Amino acid sequence: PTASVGSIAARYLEEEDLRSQHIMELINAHTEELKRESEKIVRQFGHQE
Amino acid sequence: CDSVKGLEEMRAQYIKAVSKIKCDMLCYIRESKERAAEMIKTEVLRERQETARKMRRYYLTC
Repeated sequence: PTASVGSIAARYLEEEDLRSQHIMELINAHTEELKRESEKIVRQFGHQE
Repeated sequence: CDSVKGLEEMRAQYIKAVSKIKCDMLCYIRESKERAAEMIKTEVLRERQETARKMRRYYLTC
């Protein structure tokens, strides 16, 4: 059982890699949304000057 | 007055984005902890069963 501890940890980290990729995508989506929305606001309020 | 409205909208968008990121991060960290705890729990249980089996075998042969 002691030998399998390494492989269990390795599998955990492997899954953790996938999860971190997923959360990076989520965060990128949020920043993209912020870029789009703020761009819209800048255009909207820029024209009025 | 309009520029204030624009600034307020910007502020709202910014806060919304940061809150979403915070929310996702908290969720990610919580799940990581839960997964690790679950992994340790099952391993400890397995080890305990293994020890019990060894003990039984030891006392049966004596």
